[in-house]
Amino acid sequence: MIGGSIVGLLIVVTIFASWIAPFDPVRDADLNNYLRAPGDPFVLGTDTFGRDVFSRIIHGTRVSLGVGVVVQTSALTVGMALGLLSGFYGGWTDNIIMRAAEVIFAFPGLLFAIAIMAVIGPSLYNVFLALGLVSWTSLARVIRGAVLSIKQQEYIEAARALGASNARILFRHVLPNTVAPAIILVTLGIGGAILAEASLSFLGLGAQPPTPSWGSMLSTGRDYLLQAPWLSIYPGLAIFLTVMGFNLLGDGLRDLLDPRMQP
Amino acid sequence: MSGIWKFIARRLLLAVPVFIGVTLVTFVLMHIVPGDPVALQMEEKMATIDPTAARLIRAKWGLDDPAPIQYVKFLRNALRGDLGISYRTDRSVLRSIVERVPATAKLAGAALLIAICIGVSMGVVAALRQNSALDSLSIMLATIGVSMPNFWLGLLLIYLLAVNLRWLPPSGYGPAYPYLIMPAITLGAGLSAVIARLTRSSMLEVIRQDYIRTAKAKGLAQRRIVIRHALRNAAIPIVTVVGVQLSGLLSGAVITERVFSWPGVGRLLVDSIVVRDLPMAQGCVLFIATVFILMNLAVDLSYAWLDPRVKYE
Repeated sequence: MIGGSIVGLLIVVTIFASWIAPFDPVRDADLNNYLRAPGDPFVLGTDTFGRDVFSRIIHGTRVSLGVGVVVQTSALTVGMALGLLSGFYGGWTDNIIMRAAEVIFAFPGLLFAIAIMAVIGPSLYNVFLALGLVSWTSLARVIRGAVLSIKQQEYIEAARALGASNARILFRHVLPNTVAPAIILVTLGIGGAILAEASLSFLGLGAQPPTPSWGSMLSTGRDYLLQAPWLSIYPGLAIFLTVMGFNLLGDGLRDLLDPRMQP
Repeated sequence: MSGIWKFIARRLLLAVPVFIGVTLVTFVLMHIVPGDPVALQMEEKMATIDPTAARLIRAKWGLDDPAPIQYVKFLRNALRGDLGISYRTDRSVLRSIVERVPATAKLAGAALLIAICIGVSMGVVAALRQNSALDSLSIMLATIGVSMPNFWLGLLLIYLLAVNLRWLPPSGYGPAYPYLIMPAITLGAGLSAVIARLTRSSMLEVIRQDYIRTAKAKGLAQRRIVIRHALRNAAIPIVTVVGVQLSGLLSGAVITERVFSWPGVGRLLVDSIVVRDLPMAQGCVLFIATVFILMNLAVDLSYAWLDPRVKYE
């Protein structure tokens, strides 16, 4: 419930960011307001360009949630399709898909995304591509595992005996039974994608200035920790609360839908 | 061949195609960069492109060979320990990486030690005191730990312990005390949270088993039951997840090294990407991925020690 409330609040903030934020996160820059401490009218202080930190955090919700949703949507589409095919047909299809997943798994988490960014260059849209290319593997493996056990069920055998085609069995009988683990993984994955985007932006490989990204705000804040600790504290708090919200929601969904998936 | 050696041989054989796949992916990634790398480097260094000199350099670096030949040469050289020459420094890539390995190894090792000590202790206490205030606190801390961005934790630690209290230096490389403490805590905190959650659920399963009841009935001390019997059996799923989480540790090291200006391989990777030094970036990626494959192999082999039944699969 706590997770759901946090995520709900984030969705509201994302949609109404332009109305909630008191200032424009990019255009309202005034060097006379350089590194002002939190107070009136800048609730969370200002940055090195005199921009309101609170407004940039509010608009940063769009960047973070956007990355989380887009990356996990592509992970769901690709991962679900490949997991279903791999588990259902087996043989060479399974081998090729799982070996491709293993090669990607062989790269430590963020490293593959960093390597891709090295090739295609840093930008927010390239973050979508890089994270999308690595995010499908976990989902494909879990869906494949679920399909392997569903395939053995008697109702599948019955459907086959009644003359159902492979496509019909896959879409009418197998796919609906993989939805629960997929929903859980996608929800948990959104938190992971948000953290990954923030990490890439922190390293200077993600969203580029002046786009309000929480990770790049923290990267700037690192250089001004003594004079302006609010540049590091509040964007980091936003990332933490967002990721925790999705993690709690994912945990709750797992308890509800599939207790066997508990750690 | 005895069971354990067959097991080791099988795991080693499985690692080979994965390693080849990693080298292929790394090679393809670094060679689909648009533009001629020789021309790019010449333009940057000398502001002009001399076509004759560019042709000679391209031939020297083997860039005029077809892509499959370039890959085979790259793989052969990588197996011999030759990862090329840095575009930036003209130094051997492998030598530059090896100079940075001790720093990353120190950081990752200390972080893993902290994560295991804190995570296992928290998990065991939470399991033995299930539904108590300690258990709730442990679950809450673990949830916070897995959600907290490690670079934010690092910055908070710097602000609190270095800027305000001045107990520790904010960054830099030196003896474990005082330089390694904050980076190791930053890197290990997330993993300790994962280990704590898993240890708790794994221990809860194990302490309900009949052999634990038998051990208690025999009058064995609580500590002996927990360490000799419960923890050893609970360790197998923990080792599995720690193996999976090692990827997070290595990725986390890249970020932690940036926060604390720690001169490790991760920082070398990011710096080389920023200046488009592709041989260096390629070498770092390949090196880190290879270390990760070897770490996973070590984790797989540790199962045989923890659970003798695994040898006979």
